[in-house]
Amino acid sequence: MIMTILKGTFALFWILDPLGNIPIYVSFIRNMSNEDIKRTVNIASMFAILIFLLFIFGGQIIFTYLNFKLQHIMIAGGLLLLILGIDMMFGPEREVKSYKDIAIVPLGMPLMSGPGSIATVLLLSATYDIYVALTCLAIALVVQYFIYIAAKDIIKFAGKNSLRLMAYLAALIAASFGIEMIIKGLTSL
Amino acid sequence: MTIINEFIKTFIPLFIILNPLAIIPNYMVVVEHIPKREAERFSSRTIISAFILLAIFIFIGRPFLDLIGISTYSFMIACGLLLLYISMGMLSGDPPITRNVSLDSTSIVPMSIPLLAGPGSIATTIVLENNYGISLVFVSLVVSMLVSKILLDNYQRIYKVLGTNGLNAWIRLSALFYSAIAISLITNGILSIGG
Repeated sequence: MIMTILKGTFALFWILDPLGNIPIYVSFIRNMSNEDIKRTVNIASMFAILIFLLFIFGGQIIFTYLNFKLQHIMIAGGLLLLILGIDMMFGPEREVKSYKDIAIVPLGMPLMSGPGSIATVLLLSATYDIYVALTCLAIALVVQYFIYIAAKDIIKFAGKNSLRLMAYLAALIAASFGIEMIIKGLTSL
Repeated sequence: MTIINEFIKTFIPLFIILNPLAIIPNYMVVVEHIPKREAERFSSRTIISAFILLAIFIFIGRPFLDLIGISTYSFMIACGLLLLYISMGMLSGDPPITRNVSLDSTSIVPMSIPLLAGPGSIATTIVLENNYGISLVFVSLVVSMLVSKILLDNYQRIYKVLGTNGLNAWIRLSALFYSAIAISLITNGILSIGG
């Protein structure tokens, strides 16, 4: 039982991939005050929880009545990330002043609760049972939360130019994630 | 297949995508009014930072992508798309546009990095490393960077020969082969989706 939960949590954590999202997240919050950062992560996490619960308990209804599948959300989320990456690399320097700008999208979804992780949770609940799935989800989300909160402390040490470099790499990573999600969505249609 | 043959096959694509000549317009703006020694230090910093970034990608690029969960083909397609976008901006003869370019001659890590070590260069190093191995690509990188440093330091002579029109023409020409490289990255990426 413990092994199952451990394996499930690990798989979920792998798909959530907070470490991979850190460069993107960091380039957003670099100018925000500590309070704002905490508020942003809180709102984003709550939104992510909402999204997960929505799909776990209301998934069937959504898929039946709204007639779109998870793969469609994957492609849409991927496109969003791709456009985000392109904008991060070429667009004007956007001042992310307040949590309102980024907390829900893109941080809450797709970074903290992407369609891949939604699919994984649904798979866990189908393979084992709903309680296993919810436990894994809870653990993964808590760990993820602390990673995001801690990230801001780590980057306080970085200078202005290394943050620029990180923003540049983050743009590349975001665009690549976007393509990855689009392809995963397309190939599983 | 001699070693020289293989070396040329890695050096030429790498040098073409690095394209130090296309940096010269941006470079000139920064170093126009500062003494030669400072300009040379700036070009060194630019070259070295781009070199380090690309070298990191040569050695641990693919393992790093694996670690954060990005497939090689996704990265190639993404870089190809970004390169395509860059090349479209160059069609009008403007130097490549990316946001994070710092035009401060005193910055420690000049962000002319995205110009030299742009998505095209990064993707190309990964592809070349995949096909020809780390050592060859690394040596090609070193040689390319040395040549680039020489070109940057002699920008005045180059400008005298080419002039603004010549540089513009070169940038338009670069747009052409950048887009070809971009398309090859995208299509090769798509083709390797199957694994």
